Amino acid sequence: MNSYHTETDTFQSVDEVTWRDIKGELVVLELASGEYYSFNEIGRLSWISLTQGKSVKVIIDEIVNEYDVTHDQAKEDLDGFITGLLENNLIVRLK
Amino acid sequence: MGYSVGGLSFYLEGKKSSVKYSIEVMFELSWNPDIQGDIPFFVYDLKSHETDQLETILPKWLIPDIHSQVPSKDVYLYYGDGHGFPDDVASVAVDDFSIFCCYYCALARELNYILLRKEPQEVPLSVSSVIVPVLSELFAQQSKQLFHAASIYCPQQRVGMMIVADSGGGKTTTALSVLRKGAKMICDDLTVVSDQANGRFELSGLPELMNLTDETIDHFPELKKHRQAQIRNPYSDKYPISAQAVYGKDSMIKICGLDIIYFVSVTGKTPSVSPLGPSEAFGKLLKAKTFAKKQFPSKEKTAQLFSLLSSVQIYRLQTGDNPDVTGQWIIDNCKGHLSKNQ
Repeated sequence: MNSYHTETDTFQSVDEVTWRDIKGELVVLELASGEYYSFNEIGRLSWISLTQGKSVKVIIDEIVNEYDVTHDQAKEDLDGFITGLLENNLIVRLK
Repeated sequence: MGYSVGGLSFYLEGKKSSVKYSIEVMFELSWNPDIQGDIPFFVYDLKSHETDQLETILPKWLIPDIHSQVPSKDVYLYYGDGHGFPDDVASVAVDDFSIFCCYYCALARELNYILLRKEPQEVPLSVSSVIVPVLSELFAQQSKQLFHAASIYCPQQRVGMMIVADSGGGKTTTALSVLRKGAKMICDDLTVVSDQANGRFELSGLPELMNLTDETIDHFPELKKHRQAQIRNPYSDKYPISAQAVYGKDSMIKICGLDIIYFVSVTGKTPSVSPLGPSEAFGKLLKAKTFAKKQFPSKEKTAQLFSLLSSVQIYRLQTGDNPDVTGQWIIDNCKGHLSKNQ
């Protein structure tokens, strides 16, 4: 699958979003709409790492190390996750 | 008689009227500013030919919003933030016959309720549905959260609980089922949650009368003699009844700690609970603290909600089909729910 995110890309959550990791579950709230999101385990890890400014490559490695998935699968999953976050205006690309 | 909860206290200002009377009763407001209350509450009952008075009572930034609001049953919230008045807030409802507005002016530190009757008829909307959204924002300005929820304290178990459900979802019936088994009620509909310095949360309530449906009253024999047709609220089909009149003065307390939140559903044959995850609970609590359209959560308000979710036990409670059994079951089991969910 062709990714339009490069592995050196980094992101941050937008100002209009607030989030908290509570008892192992992630809750992300979009303030302007009141819409909220919750992610699965890999989504949770990916969100926390993205908002810490880690690059796509580093997060892929984290997913491969933490879960029983191949590099290609992790890359594809993360790519889809990031695309969804960008489309919903929850994050912006830093570089 | 006085109204002071969560650090807010009001007194009614001006000439008595029927609208004022309903507000006085509903929120236990005092007419005497010398005794209690530090925020004057002005009530205006205007006729159609007095429309221009709106502009003398309300701020300029709010007038276009009122006139552009499409008639419906919905209450909308408007913030002065963005117009140079960061702490001002107003709620507005408009229908074909009237304009209802509650406006808090932070600079003057006063609350205003304006009813403009375009047609000379009864008030077709609950007074509280317009006032409560503004009160919820005033509480939020003091780092307190107002929820559409009942709250109960079980003294023997030393457990305080908030009971959340949609309107008509069994909140009051569940609270009453526990109350009549020896618990104390803080309130049955509007609960204020305050963050304490020790990381705990405290429950208090707005002093409204219980508003009971026929269905709720039918569950409890002791309520039936308090059901009086002449005081039935024609807009909600509910009967305002004082819990203290039925269960005695000691049946209510002002404050207790918050230990458990139960999200109630009137389902199943017998009572049971299951833990509720923070993300699902977040959505339900967000809904329970939203009283008007366009009432948006801020980062600060959401941080309070996140802290609450981190600090208390949260369950989905299936009440079963017999409120008499439900109340005793909650009394017997709430202590165990303090640790089960961790």
